Amino acid sequence: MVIRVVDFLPSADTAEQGAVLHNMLLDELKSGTTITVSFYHIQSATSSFVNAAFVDLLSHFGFDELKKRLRIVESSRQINEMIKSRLSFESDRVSRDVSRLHA
Amino acid sequence: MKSIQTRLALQKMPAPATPIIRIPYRLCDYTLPKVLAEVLSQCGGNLPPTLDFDMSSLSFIEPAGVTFLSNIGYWLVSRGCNPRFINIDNRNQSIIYLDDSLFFEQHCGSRLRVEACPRRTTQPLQRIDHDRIHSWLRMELIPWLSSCLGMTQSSLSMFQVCISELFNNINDHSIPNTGSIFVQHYPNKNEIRIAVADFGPGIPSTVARRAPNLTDVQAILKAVEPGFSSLSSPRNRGAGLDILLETAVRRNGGRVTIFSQSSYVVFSQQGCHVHGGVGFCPGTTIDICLRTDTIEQIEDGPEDLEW
Repeated sequence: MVIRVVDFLPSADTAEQGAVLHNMLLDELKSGTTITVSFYHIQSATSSFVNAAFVDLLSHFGFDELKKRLRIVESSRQINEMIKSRLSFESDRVSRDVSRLHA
Repeated sequence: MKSIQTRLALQKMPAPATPIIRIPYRLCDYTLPKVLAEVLSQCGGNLPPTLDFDMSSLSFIEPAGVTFLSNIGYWLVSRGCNPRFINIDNRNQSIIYLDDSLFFEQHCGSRLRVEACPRRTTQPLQRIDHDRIHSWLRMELIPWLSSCLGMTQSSLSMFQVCISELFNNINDHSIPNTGSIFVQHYPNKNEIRIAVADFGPGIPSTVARRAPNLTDVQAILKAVEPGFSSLSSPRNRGAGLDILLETAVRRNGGRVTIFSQSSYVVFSQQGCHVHGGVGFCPGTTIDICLRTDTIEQIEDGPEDLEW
């Protein structure tokens, strides 16, 4: 399954745009599919977009599972760094919160 | 009968003089917040219908001063006060700079000089709403910067995102969701200055929803903590200002100054310098100083993500 962002969104600037991608990803991931997301023709993505599109998936799937089932291609260094840093930070935060709960 | 007497008495009273605010000799970081503090102290919190800004002393203005002054103008209009800019000398270099930045076109309805036009080294003052900012950054600012610096657009996209983040914050926290932006390239100093201002509630008021009882300086420092969010929008995760500092300060080696309400904080690789109780800034003004000699050249072209 390949989702080409530019087919559905003009850019990756806002949380509202991220939510559109999130809904598509969530449906596919729930059905057990592995997904390739192409950022063809999109140069940059804000944290608002990445939070809404990808970070919100952490409430359904672990970071390790997302890494296995999501491929990001035809992207840019900025987009890749944003996705990795936001998912990593929020995944660590979830782990910290869980540890605190059990302490 | 009494009301008629009162009305007659009021008619005989001379019209109150229009308060005059003298714009300082240097309009830069430490003088910016004092401009409006003087307004508010003169008016006791009740803004008059008209306020005059005496421009005769102005001799030096930083890019943040352009957006700050513009932001004050719009803030006053939004509160029913008409700002006027008086004692303008067309030969004064700071006035010429403001004119070329299209400040007077925005605030007085026309440029002062026939020959006034944006300089090659500036992106003139823009008052721009959230819906338009992202395409303006992509279509205007980044191609212009790319041409000024001789760098690929991919090399600059991280700075584009920083400004998008600021306008996403404005959209989340401010009504109207509009900000002012002005950009200056200093080729001789290897610097780009980007100044963004809004007149929303300001960082201290927004932070107070989650973390009350902080001073304005403490609130600014809280707002830049990674992961701190006022949760004014359910999807907020408090990343925007941290990304700005990571990009502009820690990676680029530049400087970011955040002005909000009574305080401002300067962030640089040497640490942060706080300045509390220095005046008043409506909303938030952010002054970004980027080094152009530390920007990494990144080839345009797709990359796949490796986890």
